[in-house]
Amino acid sequence: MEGVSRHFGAHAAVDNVSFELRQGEVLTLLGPSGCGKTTTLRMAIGLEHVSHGRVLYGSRVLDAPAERVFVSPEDRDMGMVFQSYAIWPHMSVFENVAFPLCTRGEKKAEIDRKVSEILAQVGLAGFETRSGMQLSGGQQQRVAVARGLVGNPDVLLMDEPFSNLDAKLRDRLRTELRVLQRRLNISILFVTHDQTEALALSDRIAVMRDGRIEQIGPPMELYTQPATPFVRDFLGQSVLIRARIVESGADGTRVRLGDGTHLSARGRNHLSVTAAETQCLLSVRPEEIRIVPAAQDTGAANVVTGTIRHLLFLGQFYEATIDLPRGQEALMHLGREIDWHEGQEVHLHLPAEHLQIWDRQSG
Amino acid sequence: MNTAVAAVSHDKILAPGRAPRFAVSAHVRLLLLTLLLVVVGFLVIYPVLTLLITSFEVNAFGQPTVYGTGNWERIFSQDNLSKALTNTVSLGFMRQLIGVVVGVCIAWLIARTNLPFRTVLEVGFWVALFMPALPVTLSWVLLMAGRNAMLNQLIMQLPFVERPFFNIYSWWGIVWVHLMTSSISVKVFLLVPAFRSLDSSLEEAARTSGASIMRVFWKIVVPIMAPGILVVVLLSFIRSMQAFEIELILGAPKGISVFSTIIFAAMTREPPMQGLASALSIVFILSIIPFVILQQWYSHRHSYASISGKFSNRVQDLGRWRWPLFAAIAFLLILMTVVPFGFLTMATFMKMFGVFKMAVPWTLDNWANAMTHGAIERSFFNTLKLAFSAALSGMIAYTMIAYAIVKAKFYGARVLDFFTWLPTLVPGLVLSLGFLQMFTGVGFFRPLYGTLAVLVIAVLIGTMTIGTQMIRVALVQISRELEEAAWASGGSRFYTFRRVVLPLIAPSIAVIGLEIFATSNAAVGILALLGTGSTQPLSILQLTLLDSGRFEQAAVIGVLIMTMTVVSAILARYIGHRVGLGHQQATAA
Repeated sequence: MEGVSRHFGAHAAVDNVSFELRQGEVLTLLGPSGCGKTTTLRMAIGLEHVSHGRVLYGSRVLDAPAERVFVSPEDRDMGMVFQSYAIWPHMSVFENVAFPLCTRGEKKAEIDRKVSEILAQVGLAGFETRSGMQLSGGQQQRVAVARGLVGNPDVLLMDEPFSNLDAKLRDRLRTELRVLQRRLNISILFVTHDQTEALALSDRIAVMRDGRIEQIGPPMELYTQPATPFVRDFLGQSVLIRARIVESGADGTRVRLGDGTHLSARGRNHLSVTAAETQCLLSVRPEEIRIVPAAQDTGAANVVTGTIRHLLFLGQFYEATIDLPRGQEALMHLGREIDWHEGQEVHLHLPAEHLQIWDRQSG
Repeated sequence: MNTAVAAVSHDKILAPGRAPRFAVSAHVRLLLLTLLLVVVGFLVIYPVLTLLITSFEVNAFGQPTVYGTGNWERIFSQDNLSKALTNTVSLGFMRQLIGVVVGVCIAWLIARTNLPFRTVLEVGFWVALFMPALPVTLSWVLLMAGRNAMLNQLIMQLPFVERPFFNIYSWWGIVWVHLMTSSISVKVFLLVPAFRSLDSSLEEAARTSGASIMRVFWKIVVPIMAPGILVVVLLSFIRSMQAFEIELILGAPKGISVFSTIIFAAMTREPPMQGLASALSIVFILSIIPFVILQQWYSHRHSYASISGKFSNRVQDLGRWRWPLFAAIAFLLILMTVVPFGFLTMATFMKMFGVFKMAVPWTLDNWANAMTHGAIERSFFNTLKLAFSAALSGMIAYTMIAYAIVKAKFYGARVLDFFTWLPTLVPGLVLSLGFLQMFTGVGFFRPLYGTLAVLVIAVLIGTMTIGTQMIRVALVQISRELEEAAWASGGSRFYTFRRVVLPLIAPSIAVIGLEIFATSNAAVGILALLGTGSTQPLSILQLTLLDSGRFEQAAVIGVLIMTMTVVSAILARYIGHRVGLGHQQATAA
């Protein structure tokens, strides 16, 4: 995809998006609904035309309005799994899966062999004669995947394929898909709004917002080094604390909180101006914070004091709302090994290398 | 903010350089769609246009063409027109008034209560809807016309009744036969599904608040359904203004004329007065338009339905009224279906239609004559040919049109949709006149005149609205992703249509085919001026036999038509019922 845009009237659903799907990788387009991720996927297979830019498949131009080239979906040799699975209700499982082979006029014996093979791969051997209507959601999803893969494409496109399934089944099918993808060494362009799904499945994630890609990279990089406030907040939780710059040097930045506490931050600094007294916002992933009851703490650098306001026991851990100075708060998970109680004073140890500095407005 | 990654070609992903054939086929597709638009547009607009031109031709029939306003001056100077207009509206109004009260009650009883055998009754009204008007009219003539009519004979047995009580040749007679054919049954047919979609908790809330079942019906159900009911009434009012054959048979002897019969009279006069008939037709169409606009405007404004995603559909208990109400409705249905069929069949075995006071009133001669009578045999095969060709070409044509409107992403889709609605505006007889002029007047079409093709085209235009709309509904219910999945799997447009779309809408297409078959059997108005000579179908032969008073022969034809129509209607119902289930599954996928 090179500088691809899609306009619906004056509105740009997808605006100048570029990315490349590499051989054998799972690339996920992640974003809230209406961010243009599905439109991008549909342009990749040709169910939508691009308004500007080019879609390439290797060196082959698939869609380029400037060159008056458009290859229709049936000639793109890709597989696709739809959100609704689109299992044709009048056909059996076998007929559904055999369809892509039938369109190429392959021989009957060859079709039989390939369909049985792929059905075995997705764990649906023996279901050939069932009608699409007699399948559960998970089975329908497998049929859709089998249909997408039976033609042996290099690229499989998946549009929120797990969104219609219950949570347990979703987890299992996600793992199965990952195993299948590795075994067949195919590339998958995946669309989802579910960050957990994206983190678990992807080799790379492209976070989209308002038709643009905010950041693209491996899941770990996006999670630990978000480039924009949107990516920071969309992927995972953050504890945000207001501060002012004291001084900015080679060895990180020293900041001062409202109550006078001094902290040092060596994580990424997103500010363009780092003069003293500049207002800023510190962010840290809650799991990086070490939390200790104030009474037991021997004291160290980079500590903020807070008070547990609410405490909910959720089984594996406690969920705590902690009051921070100046009316700020943090939502944290606390381990069971310590006897926490509401009203307790605690120390939050903030590791300097995980403290990122943002513009104050980004909260 | 966006991270740009240049597209780098990958060895493995090097795809074979196939030619992008979409660019070519897109032009062909567009050309075909445009052709479809032009053909449909021509067929629905030209007949009306030619009427407009002919209305200014004042020369006598067969003379060189002279243009003038004579026809228009003539129709507005005589009181024929205003009488016909008054009758058309008053007859339509009375039918709708009675029809809607009875129809709404029956629809509610069938859809919302524990009326016994309600599904059987529903099928009964479907059959009644398809009862062909002419044969039914004939059977009521047998029962209610003059001193010898059976019901009059029966009533005159009573003391103090000296004179025949019923007279079918009257204003009320016309109303009665219409009520017995379509005026009630069409409302039941259209309103039962609407009532079914009403949330029964609305009724139950009223019952638990202490309202009786009658009160619930009048105070809750009818007001909630009022917009839907009004739309149905307006639609049937438009249809009833276009009625032709019942008025012709029952009104003509007593000088009760309506729009369609004065047009027919002008055309069947010697020599025919085409210009006058055309001017009348134009006025006729213009007088219908306000009602169509009203209907469209109203149904758009009240397009909200009382249908919600989740609703319960529990039926109301009628208590001790269950069986009496069943008996009443069953009696009505028998009057609508069994009585016409039975008495008409009986009449085919009579020496003189409706005359029992003979030593031996019975005979087999009528059937024997029919078998040997060349005209009947020829017409029978004409009807079969017409019905089969119309059904077959209609199924293909309406599927193409509906697909172009719904799925093809075609610039002219809206215009095409509008074209398919136009024929509802034009009464069958007027369309018949327009086609007559088109096929005799335009050199290009003249070779077709006198062939069955003319009748097929006329029937196709006449059934176009319902045919296209039914297939359109079926198409809309097919989720877009089912098609996209086929394209993404490598299926071309046509292959996808054949393997995925067509099998899913096939039952709807079959239903439409059977309905066109039924319509072609019974159609009178739309064929009245076209089906002459060697292509005359049964329905028009029956009309001419009736016109010349040969009732016994007409009854034989009536029985034939009735049988063919009702059988195809029942088949359509059977298939359509299965479609309904199929669709629910398809949308649940």
